[in-house]
Amino acid sequence: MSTGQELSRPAAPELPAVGRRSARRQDAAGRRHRSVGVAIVLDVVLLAIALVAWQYAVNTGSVSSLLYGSPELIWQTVLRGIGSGSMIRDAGITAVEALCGFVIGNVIGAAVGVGLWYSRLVEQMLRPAIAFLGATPIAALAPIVVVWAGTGVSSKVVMSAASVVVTALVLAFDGARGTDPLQIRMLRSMGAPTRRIFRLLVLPSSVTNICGGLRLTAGLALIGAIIGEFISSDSGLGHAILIAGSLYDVPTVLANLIVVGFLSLALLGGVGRLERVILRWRFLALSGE
Amino acid sequence: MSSTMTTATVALDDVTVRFGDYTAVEDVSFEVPEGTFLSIVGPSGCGKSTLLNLVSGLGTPASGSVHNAVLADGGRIGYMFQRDLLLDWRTVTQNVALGLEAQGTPRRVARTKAAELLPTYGLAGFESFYPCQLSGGMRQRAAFARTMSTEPTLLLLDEPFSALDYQTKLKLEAELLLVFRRSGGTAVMVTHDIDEAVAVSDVVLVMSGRPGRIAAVHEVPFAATGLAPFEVREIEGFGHYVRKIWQEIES
Repeated sequence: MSTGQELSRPAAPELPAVGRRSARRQDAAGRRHRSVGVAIVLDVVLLAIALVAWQYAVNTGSVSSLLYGSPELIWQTVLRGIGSGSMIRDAGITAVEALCGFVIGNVIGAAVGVGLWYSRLVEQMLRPAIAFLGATPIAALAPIVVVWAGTGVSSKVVMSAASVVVTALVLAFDGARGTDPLQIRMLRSMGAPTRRIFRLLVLPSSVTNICGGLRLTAGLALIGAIIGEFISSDSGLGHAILIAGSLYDVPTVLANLIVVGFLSLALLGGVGRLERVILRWRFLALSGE
Repeated sequence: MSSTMTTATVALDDVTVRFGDYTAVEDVSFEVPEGTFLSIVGPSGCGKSTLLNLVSGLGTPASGSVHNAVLADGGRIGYMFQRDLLLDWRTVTQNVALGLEAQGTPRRVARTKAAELLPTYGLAGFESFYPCQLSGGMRQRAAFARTMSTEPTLLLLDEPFSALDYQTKLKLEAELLLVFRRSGGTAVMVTHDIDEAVAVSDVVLVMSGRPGRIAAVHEVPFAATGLAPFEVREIEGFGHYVRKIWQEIES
């Protein structure tokens, strides 16, 4: 510095490694963390105990496999489904429908939600409509959607997107509205017009909330697609569940539901990865330092 | 201070501000000549921030006039707040570049310029750090660099270092405020820290509260000595000024 005084200043420390692995560490709240591996092992052990107990109850005859299925029957159904390729095909179709609906619903919801920040008038105009849509059971719309969008994949995508869009919108709007007013004032004082304030500040401020919306709506997107398949379809997991249900084929229903669960886990996993990229700065803060 | 002190950058004349029935500021007049560092001290609720808002063009007085030559000429005002207002998702360099980007400078140009500024404000080596990884002092350095990147003609400071520990505050006074003052910049600072005001300013305006009026005006010589803030605080007259201002605020 030009003052000529040598003021001691800490040397720039190394950037903390992101996602570094250590067997034991504490998070910001002081909770002790073991590695994720421990949690997975515990999951597997508990699941195994439950499955063994279930199978044992069926084998001893105290639980009817006709009414409740059994792990063994479910497993056989899964093997058969994978062997014939039908289950994989159904899962693929449902996954594509849900993913398309998820993306479309979130893009529209986030864009409109964040865009509402621009105009208080439009926001107040749309407020009742948003509340109305938010309270509409999307399942009730399904028959009409089939009329509008046909019985093919597109009607399921519409159902899925419709299940997602309001949640995504409300979260994105809350994010935009939550932008620090003092930061807005600062940018304004620096000479930024509203459009630039939106791009530099409001939009990135909303990203945390939009990511929360992604996590919340991953499951909703799947449910929407499956409800769409319930109404009219010739393939997809919802179709398989509907057919099996009408035949009282409990193991097939449960087997397909398990596949739905795995799809949702996969979708959430993808969202988590995306979040770690988009919200990199946040995970730096959480990683300890 | 420069000899051409004929032009007042900021001039308030007989200003009164009311919020409904409440009179926040009454009959306040002062001038900030070009190149002067002026501080406003007073108890909380005495209308210090109201005055700063008036100077920045936010709000209008119930009576009296506010003249800001920088605003009138379309010049740039730089703000420093108590909160650093750094954007969490931007690195230090990107945060410093924000001021230029806000003015419409292309992103790459702004970030190159910002990177060049960092060493001046003691931020070398911290280019790619995020705000959450910085100490309070480093954060205020980044905020100051961001403010200075737009080369403001007038600097407005609202308790800029009040959230920092004593040692860090003295350091930043030396490296940021005094350097700015020596470069001939014009500034208005609001603070409740009398020590700080006496150490870095040319003029200290003392306010009394409810309604806010000017109780006294002091020209202080310490910032002009070129001594470091902690050395200046050792000078005998320094304590005298601080005690006097303290009493004026109390009475």
